[in-house]
Amino acid sequence: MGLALLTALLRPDDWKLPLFVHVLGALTLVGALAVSAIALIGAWRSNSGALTRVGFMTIFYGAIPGWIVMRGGAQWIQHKEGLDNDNIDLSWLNIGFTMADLGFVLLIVLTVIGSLMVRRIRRDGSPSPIPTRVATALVSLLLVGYLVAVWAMAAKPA
Amino acid sequence: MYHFWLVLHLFSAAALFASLVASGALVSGASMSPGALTASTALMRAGLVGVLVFGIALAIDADGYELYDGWILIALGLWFAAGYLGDTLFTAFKEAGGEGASVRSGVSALYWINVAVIVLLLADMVWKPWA
Repeated sequence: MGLALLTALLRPDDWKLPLFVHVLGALTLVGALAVSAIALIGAWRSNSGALTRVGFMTIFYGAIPGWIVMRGGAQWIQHKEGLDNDNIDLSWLNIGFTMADLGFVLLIVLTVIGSLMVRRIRRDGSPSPIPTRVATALVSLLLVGYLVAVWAMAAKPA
Repeated sequence: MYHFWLVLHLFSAAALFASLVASGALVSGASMSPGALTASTALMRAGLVGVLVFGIALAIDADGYELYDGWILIALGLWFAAGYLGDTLFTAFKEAGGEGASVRSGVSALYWINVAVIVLLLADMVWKPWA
C-alpha cells in the first residue's frame, strides 16, 4: 500500500521526477556559487584564509555535486520530452547545455586552483592574493552565466 | 508576465538554496567574517520573501490555480517552517561570531530539518498535490 502510494505520487514514468532532480541540482549549483562568490569577495578584501577555504570548499562540496545532479536531470528530462533529437534546435535548450558544459570546465579549473590554495593556506597560514582574485572573477562569471541559463530555462526565448 | 514571475521566483529559490549552502558550511565547522554572515542572512531573507511574493504572483497569473489549492497551502506551511528554522539558524551563527566550530549543540539537527523542509517545498512545487 505504502509503496503503491509512493509510486503513484512519484510517477516514475512522468516528467516530474526528472524535473525535480534537474531543478534541485541547478538551485544547489547556483546557491553554492553565490556563497563561494560572497566568501571569495570577502577573502579578496581581507586576505582571510578561512574565507578562501569556504569559497573553494563550497565549490567542491556544493557546486560540483549540484552540477552533476543538474546535468543528469537535464539529460533525463531531455530524453523524456523527446528533445534529444538532432532535428530539434531550440535556443533556450542550446543556451542551457552550452552554459552547463562550459561551466563544468571552469568548475574543474576552480577546483584545481582551490586545492593549490588550500594547500598553501595549510603551509603558510594565508592565501595567495592573485589566485584568489582570479578565482573570484571566475566564480562571479560562472554565477552570471548560470543565472542567464536559469532565465533561458524559465523564460524559454524562441 | 508568467515567465517574468517564474524567473524571479527561481532566482529567489536560488538565494534560499545559497543560504542553505552557507549554513551547511557553518554547521560543518567553517568560519565566516561578519560581512559574509550578514550577506548570507540577507540571501536567506531575500529568498524567503521572493519565493513567497513571486510565487503568489505566479499563482494569480497562471490559469487553473487558486490560492486556496492544497499544494499552495502546503507550500505556505513549509514556507513558515523554513522561515522559522532559517532565522533560528542564522541567529545561532551570529551568536557564535561566525565560528562554525562554536555553534551550540542541536543546531546541526535544525539545519538538516531545514534542508528537508526546503527540499519538500521544491517537491511540492513540482508535483503540486491536490492542485
